[in-house]
Amino acid sequence: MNILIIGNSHVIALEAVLKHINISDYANLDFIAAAGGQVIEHYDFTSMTVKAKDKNALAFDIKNLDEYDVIFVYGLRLRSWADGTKNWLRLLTEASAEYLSAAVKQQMFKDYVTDSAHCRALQLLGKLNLLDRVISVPSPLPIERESNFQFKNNDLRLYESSMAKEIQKLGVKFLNTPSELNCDNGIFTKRLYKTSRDDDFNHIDEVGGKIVLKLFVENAYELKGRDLDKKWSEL
Amino acid sequence: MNPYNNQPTRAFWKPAVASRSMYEINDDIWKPKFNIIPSNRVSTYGSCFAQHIGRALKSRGFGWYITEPPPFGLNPKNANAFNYGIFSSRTGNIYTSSLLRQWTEWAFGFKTPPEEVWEKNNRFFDPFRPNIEPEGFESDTELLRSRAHTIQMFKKSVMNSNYFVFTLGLTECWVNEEKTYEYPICPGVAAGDFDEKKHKFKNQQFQSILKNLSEVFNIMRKFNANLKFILTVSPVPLTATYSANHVCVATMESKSILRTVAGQLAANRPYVDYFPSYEMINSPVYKGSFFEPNQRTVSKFGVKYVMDTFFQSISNKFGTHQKNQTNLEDIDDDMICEEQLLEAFGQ
Repeated sequence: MNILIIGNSHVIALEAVLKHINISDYANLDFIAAAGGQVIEHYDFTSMTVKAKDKNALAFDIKNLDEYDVIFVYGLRLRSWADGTKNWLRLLTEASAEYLSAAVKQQMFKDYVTDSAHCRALQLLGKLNLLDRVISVPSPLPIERESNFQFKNNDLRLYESSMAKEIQKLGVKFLNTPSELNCDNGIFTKRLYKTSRDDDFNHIDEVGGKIVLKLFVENAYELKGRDLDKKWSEL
Repeated sequence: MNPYNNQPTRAFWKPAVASRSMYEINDDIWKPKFNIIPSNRVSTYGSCFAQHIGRALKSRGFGWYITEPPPFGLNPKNANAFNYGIFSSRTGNIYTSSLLRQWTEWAFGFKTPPEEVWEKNNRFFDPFRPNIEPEGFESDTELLRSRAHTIQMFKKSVMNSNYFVFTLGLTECWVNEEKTYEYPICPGVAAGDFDEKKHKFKNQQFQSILKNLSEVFNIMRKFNANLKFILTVSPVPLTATYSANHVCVATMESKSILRTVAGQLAANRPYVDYFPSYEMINSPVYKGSFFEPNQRTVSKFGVKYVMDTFFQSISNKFGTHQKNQTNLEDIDDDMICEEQLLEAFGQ
């Protein structure tokens, strides 16, 4: 099974897993990634070539896109915890204002999703008639920490449902990150899976990466109607 | 020798108008009182035509002061649909001087905002901003909370601005006689139910408009002593009249009264100026060429001509550097105008 993962910095945790676990009997994984949402600028989806490489961009020996059985679009700012102004945290914080109507809030969430690099990547794949082999996955929820964030659980849930709905409207299978990673409140990723970088509450570690990667392969098989053998569950 | 000998060229019809191309008449049509500079905060409110002023300020790098900006994430098209970035706060169109006074009195605590809401198909509409949410609010509580926020943001724009630009649009209005407040549109048109016992038509006259604007200036300057005002009169004719007059006659009467009030205030108060956008579109000199074929909608060229004149006049008088001309692409021809709903009732 040839699988391509198009993403951003979140693919690092997945790629790291492959250094320790051999899944070549099940899948051949390729990655194309760049920081933030820049992959759509670094990769030309029409000519299927890498337009530019820099130190923040990962691009390995990419085949033609139509040679992949399944393509994952992973992260790309559907949830973004990075510092800066244009991020998901700001969206949720502003949406928590009491004076905003539910209609405005819904439109904010919808526009944020449909204007994201993630959706633009899906649209580019749609132009190539590849959406039937695409699975869309947001980046993991931010890592749990003590700081209080000014958003409400209800707003997060509204955003999550809007995100799934808008992606599905494009005719793409939407797959949320594994619930196993999440705290009981469903708002954060467990501290257990935090990357070792001190100030980074955005990325998961290799252990979390393995959980995500397994989910990817299992869903790729399911999309293609194939079964995994017993040895897979022992990996 | 007589006093006219010392008058400038612009005072004489032949050299100022008849001998010039109509596109040159604006060279010295306005001598602004105030030197607006990009770092100044300018709030804009008023009737539909006022929407162009804020956008023109923004596109030229001036400080259009928005106190109720669109929340993060909302794209520009939908922000516009929800009435963000139309005026400095989400008041919707303020067509009359009395409506401006009403918003001012709510904002500064002189009157309590009414709790009236209009319900239609289980959605709730704000009688004072009937089109502020395209599908209405989901509850009266949500509506009142949103309006309360806008009132605060209106207040903030008054408190922190250097200039307050207001475009006078109408003299005709509908009031709730029982409760003594005014609606921006007749109940029953956009939403709500018309009740002839409560809802009364008023066609405001010179004295009441002058009094309303004077009161507005007094209140605003009590809280922001340095605030200056620029008045304009919308050149857009009435969509419909409820007076006994032909709509053309009603339009001329309304605009003439508004123009006279604006002129009187600008002449008598050093902190008030009048910008002649009305004349630049409506004067016979321009032969109606800035109107679309319906003779009501001002074309993009008309808007550009007016807004370019606004900035060029400031530059001519004060010598300040102004950014390029207004781009036609920056002019939104999809203005938000509740009054236009009345068109649906004309057969």
